[in-house]
Amino acid sequence: MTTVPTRWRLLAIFVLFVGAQVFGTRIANDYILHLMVLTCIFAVLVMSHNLVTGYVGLFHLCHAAFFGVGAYVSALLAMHLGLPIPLTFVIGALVAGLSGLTVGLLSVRLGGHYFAIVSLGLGVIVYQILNNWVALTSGPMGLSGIPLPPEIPWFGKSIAWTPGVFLTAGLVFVFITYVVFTRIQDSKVGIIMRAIRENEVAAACVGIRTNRVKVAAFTIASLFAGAAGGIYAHYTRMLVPEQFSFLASAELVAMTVLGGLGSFGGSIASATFFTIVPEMLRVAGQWRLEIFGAMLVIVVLFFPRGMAGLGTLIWQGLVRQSGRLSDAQGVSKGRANRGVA
Amino acid sequence: MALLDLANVSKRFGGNHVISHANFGVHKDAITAILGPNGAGKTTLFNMITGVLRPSSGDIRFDGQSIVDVPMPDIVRMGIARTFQKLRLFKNLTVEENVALGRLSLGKVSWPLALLRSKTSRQEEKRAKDEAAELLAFVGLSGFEKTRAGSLAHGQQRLLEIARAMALQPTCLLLDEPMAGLNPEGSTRLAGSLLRIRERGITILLIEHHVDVVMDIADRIIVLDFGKIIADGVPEDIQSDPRVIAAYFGGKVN
Amino acid sequence: MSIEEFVVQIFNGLVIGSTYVLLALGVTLIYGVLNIINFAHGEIFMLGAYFAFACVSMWGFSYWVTAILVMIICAALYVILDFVAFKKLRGFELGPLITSIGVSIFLQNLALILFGGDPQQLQTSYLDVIISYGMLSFSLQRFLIIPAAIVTIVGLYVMIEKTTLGRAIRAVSQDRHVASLMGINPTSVIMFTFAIAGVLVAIPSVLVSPLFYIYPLMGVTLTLKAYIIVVMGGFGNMLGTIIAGMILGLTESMVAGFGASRWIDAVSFMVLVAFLLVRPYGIVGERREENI
Repeated sequence: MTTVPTRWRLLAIFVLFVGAQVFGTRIANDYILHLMVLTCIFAVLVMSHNLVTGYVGLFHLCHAAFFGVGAYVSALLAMHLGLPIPLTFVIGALVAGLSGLTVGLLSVRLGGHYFAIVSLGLGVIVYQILNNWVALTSGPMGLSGIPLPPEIPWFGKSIAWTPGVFLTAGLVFVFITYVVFTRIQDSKVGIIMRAIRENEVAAACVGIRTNRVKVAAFTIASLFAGAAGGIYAHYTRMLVPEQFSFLASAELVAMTVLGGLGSFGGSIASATFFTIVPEMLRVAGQWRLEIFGAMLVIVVLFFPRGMAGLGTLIWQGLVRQSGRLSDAQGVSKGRANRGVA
Repeated sequence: MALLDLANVSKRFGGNHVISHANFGVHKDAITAILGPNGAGKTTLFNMITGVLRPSSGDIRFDGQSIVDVPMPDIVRMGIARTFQKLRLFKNLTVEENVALGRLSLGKVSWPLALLRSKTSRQEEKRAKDEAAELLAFVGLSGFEKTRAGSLAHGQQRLLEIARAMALQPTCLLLDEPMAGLNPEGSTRLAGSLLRIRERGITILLIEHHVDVVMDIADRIIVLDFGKIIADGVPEDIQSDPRVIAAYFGGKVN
Repeated sequence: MSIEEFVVQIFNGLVIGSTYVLLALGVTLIYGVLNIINFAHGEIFMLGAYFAFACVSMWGFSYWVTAILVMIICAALYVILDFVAFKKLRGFELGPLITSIGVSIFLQNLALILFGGDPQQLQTSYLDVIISYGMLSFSLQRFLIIPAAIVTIVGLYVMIEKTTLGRAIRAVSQDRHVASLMGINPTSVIMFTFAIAGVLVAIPSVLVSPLFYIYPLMGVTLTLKAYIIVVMGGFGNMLGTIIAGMILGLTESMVAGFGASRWIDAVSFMVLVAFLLVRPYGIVGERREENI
């Protein structure tokens, strides 16, 4: 079970978001506002990654590809076919979800290591398509001039999509994602997922169709990643294939692990940390990836619970709960993945 | 007709014959016990019945249907549940969650409803928890619902696995050394529980080393040695069977 | 395509295939013994190539002395890698995977910082020896990897099957605990395995890197290819790895021959995916069942 009661966490996060919105639009300067919007997008990305890797225990390396699919599909449909953006956004997310479903169905039954490699392959294929199919995607030059979403009619006025409005949308998106994912956590689905992560063979022996659960989690995660991509495309209005390469997927792994496998609050914290902090430490520019790499090693070796562990410790210190601790580290060791449906 | 029927089942790992031509049937409402020295292949039999391993040859039928190619979760749905020799609990889940899982995984409520916490899904969860409480009382673990499963004592963990298996509402319960690590008092109590489980209409197939307890409660005993069945009959006959005595005491360290 | 071009493509395929096979064998060896995936494999290759460059072009060592030195360095690097990133995580199946990604990122950027982003060219005399065939010509350097690969594979086979160390490696691969009960020291066996993997990486890094540019990110695709091959050949299966490596090399060569070299990576992975659907446990692999 989760350590901190859901109601409190939801309330805390809600307050946080309202505060963030106010801060972002009234107090902060444009640059910080920009970073905040990016943080929201990456928070959803990391949370969705965490659902599959941290919560169910399926390690994969193509999450940035789903992000890219959602982004490019939405952008291209809007630019070349002139479809309205809310629609392209939905289609982008659906296409990403569909690819997740397909890859999942094909390869989940193969088991951990095989799945990791296949996911890697998918990521590479997507990247290669984005980079080489120049006629469609403008290749390495990328897409630019992606249109903004249409203005929102509101009580006689028309709201244009300023960064402030994107921030609201972003925060709402993060909130929804967080709510959905914690719902999953607390429902029977969550217990089932945790059981799979704890002991896959035992899970199969209590009747859990482990493969179906994994595919479902993977599909949901890719859907959310695609949605995040759509927002990203229409906010930054510029896409380059480099942003969705294997390296990007690897960075996502780092961010998820550092936030704490299985903890969605940790994912939000991690996304915030890794978007804002390196940007603000200008010196770290060249060394940012160095730090990433080193921290990944250090965290896995010494702090497997990541930031979530830190948060839990703080909460425990505040409220002094006793007894049950959730272990955000335990990843499935099951290798006897024998043909479960 | 036997509820569970093994016909000429063999299992090879490379050149190593772990099970050779096993033939036996488990009859409904009976307690059948499998005895044999360590390494005889008892757990391998369980693994084949529950779908963890595939027999190299032969057929296993449950209620008339062949289950040799059926995936593990589906075998569970057909009515076979098991416990493990080396405990496989969900250590970081609570005791209650471990048992409720059995009910929930087989539950009819679909996921979207579960996520929306609809009325039916909440009812299902409540029912699962109530049944879990009942089963925990049955095995003697009342009060431990919210405890983390990994922090129970070993004997209690074994009882928890049994409760979890029973939550699957099986017709046939496979228990792999349920009395391992229990003191004599615990073993007797568990033996009593097994009799009560049989009264509930659940057929039991049991691997055990506590020979005296088994002799008391088993309706039929099968003895396995080096992958072969060397005896199959009622306790009285087994006790005096010279091959069994040789297998257990004839120059082997047990 | 003319006959000559076709033959050259086959030849190229063998060159690429040999390179891949040696890379993949190192990876498969480690997987067989420890069940871990190491994403920093290509970075060891990259560091080996840079070291070779330094030895030959900066410090003036002879080519063959350099080869020996690189083998030693790569073996050492691999053992250090285990010590730093994997050792503490024995038993945590995905831990080494994640840390190896961290190491990979770390090393790529370290190379970027230390050596700069400009690609380097390792010059050897063999590059200047041109062999002509019909209207096409290529340098002798290209050829060197093939006999090297053959010798290495044979040597590896002999070592694994016939020597004590090889038997120890096989024992530890199957069951580390039981092997230790039989008097084998798993720690040193594992260390040797990593060293051997380092040597296997070093060979192509010295012989093949003169054929193209050396740059910090050169290892990334190589790691991916090595793992495609390992998956196709069956994790931990030597023969399958060799066959798969050659198939992949020839496929890539053909694709390049038809002028679609930009798509090589995508095609390689599509081949992999197709393979996995048909024969998921590898060309000669069997499904490993676990008796719980």
